[in-house]
Amino acid sequence: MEYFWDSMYRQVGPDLLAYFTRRHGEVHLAEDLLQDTFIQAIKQDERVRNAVSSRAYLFGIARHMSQEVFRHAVQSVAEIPELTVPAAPAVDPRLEAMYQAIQVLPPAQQEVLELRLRHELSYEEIATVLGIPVGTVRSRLHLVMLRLREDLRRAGND
Amino acid sequence: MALKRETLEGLLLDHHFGALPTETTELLDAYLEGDPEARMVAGELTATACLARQALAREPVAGLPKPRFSLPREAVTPLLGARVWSPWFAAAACLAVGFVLGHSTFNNPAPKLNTARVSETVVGVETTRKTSSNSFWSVNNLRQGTNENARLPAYTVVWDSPLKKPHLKSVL
Repeated sequence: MEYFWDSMYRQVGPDLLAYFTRRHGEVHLAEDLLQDTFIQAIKQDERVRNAVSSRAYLFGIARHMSQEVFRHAVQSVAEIPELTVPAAPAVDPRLEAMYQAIQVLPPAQQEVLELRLRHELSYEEIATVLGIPVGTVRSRLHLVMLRLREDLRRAGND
Repeated sequence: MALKRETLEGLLLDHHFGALPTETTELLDAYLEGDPEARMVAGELTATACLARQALAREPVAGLPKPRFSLPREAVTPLLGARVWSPWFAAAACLAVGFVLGHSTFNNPAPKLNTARVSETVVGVETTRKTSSNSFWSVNNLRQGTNENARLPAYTVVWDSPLKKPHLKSVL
């Protein structure tokens, strides 16, 4: 028998850790934020359980925590630093090109892409996390994908 | 009728991200079958999404640390929350089920049980008739008495005055 919060920590914890690591670049800070997120979520136990998507609700709290860190560091959300985690060298040149293309995306676009492709959140869940309409999520994601396709084409021609 | 490029790309991306209704997906699949250029666009977008997924997954992720706080342990699943399956609720549910079962059992006794009782009584009576003695309280004695009484002439007590003795008078 598995308890609700054990299950949540086991299932969503790794994704949240990856989310924080990507946004802040420091593993220790990411771990702290992960703990804080769960402490905050447990305080809102009822809401998390009754949410349409508990997972999306946790991501929403995580995002809020992350923004708080940036705010304390006297940085606006729009100036979220780009990925600082060193990535393993890619063998496939197309993959490397894609990686580079993602790095130069605006933070808002990176975020929506990551929530969809890495954390597998639905349009509705992303809308909940970001606090924006589903239509905006859809159009933002489409824009990113088309842009990435163009970047890949360009990289292929070079 | 050919779809606009923007519309097609939008539909393909929604399809890839699992956000397209089933009916629309079927229509899109049918459209792609008849349009090689649209299939090429679909292939490009799928490849882009796959590469993006791989690129995002490249980043190393630290192992999940143990929580530094105690996780509450009240419920099993998010669907059936802790409040619903609390011990008090379970006890109340058991009582309710027991009451309903008990009530229905006592109000509707099984017909088989009745049959058994009837046959048992019949057998009992037969046995008594054959083996019992002719004691004062025996069934035989009672039956005989009843039959004899039935054969006796009927009388009525006539008591005209409290000063006189009552006497019997035949009613036949």
